[in-house]
Amino acid sequence: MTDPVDRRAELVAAAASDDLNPDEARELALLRATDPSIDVEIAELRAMIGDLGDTPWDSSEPDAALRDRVLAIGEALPAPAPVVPIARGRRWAVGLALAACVAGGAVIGGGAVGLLDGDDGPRPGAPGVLGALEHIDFSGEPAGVSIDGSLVAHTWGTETILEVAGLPAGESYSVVLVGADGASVDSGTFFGSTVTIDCRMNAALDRPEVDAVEIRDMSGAVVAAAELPAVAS
Amino acid sequence: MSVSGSVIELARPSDRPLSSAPMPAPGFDLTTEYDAHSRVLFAFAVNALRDRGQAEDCVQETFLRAWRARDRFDPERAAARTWLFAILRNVIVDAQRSMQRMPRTVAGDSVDEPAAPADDTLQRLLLVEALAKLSDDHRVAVVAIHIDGESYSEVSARSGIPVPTLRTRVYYALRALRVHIDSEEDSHDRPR
Repeated sequence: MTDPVDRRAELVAAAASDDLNPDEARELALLRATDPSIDVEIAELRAMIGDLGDTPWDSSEPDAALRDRVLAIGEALPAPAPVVPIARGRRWAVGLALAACVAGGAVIGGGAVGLLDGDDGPRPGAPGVLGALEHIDFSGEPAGVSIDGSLVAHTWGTETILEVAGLPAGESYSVVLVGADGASVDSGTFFGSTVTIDCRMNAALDRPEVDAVEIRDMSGAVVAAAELPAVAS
Repeated sequence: MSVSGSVIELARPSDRPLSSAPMPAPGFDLTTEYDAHSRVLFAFAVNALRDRGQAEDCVQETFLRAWRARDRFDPERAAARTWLFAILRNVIVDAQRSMQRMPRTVAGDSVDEPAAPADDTLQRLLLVEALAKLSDDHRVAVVAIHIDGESYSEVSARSGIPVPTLRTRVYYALRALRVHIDSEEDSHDRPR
């Protein structure tokens, strides 16, 4: 004998797609008399069915070669760097970096881009230490392009400091921080130039949450990327 | 008929109390996780992007990001599948934004259907993700009846599955889709 719950589900599903025969329609009418939620549920299912109508479904499988490509990741990427505890309380760095952004002046889009204003910046330190300068290594840049990058962990987020030479003048580039969950946070944009560019940008993403820094062209293609060591939050 | 088992895997909130204790040792094995989840991840990507090559690139990028962040993966907070889907969703959004900035070309391995519209909404992405997360039995039933437009009797004759079973699968599949979309929309609406 059919479970009454399953029978109710059958009839509601059939009603939602107008598939009831006369006997089933009478059976559903009797159920409605004692269960007024049925009409609400049929309406909800019909709304869901309406949404599905515009969603053609491709049931194909990925190529076997994709498995090889993915498993090669584990062989190609080294183990993460050791976790470094963050020292809190170096608030002097906050003021210095803010001053640099304000002094720089040039702002493109949502991010602040400023010329470096001297050598009073943060000093080298371990990744993730608030206020310390963390050197990062970019890879993948085109021939003739050099990118020297550093990060500074701040209480408000992560500052990216770049010295870039060789990118085509007038072309626009964005600096993006990629989080551990895959989310991208824009840090700012800059133009390529015939001279070496020094700039600082900030993003509201804490350093422990940043997995990589990417420089992208206007099509979104990654021009160069730096993978970062993990640090403790 | 059998309708037992999980229709869809929904994100589950952490049941671990807040603590300053160190995170447990991560457990993310690339081979195991790829073999367990790549098929549904690809289904999500190829149906969101309508391009096989780009979908495979997105899946690869997802596992790359997961591998980089594997020491932060905490299986007590979310299943690996939930975590991978969250990463893939962001990768797909990035890919869609890139596509909207580029002239559209037709690759040899593109699927027949037209590319996703430039104004693709989060709602559609959530729906495709929810469909990908359905169990095979439930997805096959709901796709045949409500996307491909077959009747219950046609699907039953072709598959040998009784009509009542198909109806019940469709019922629970539609409910699961609604619950998934509502829960994801709620999580986006919540202040972070």
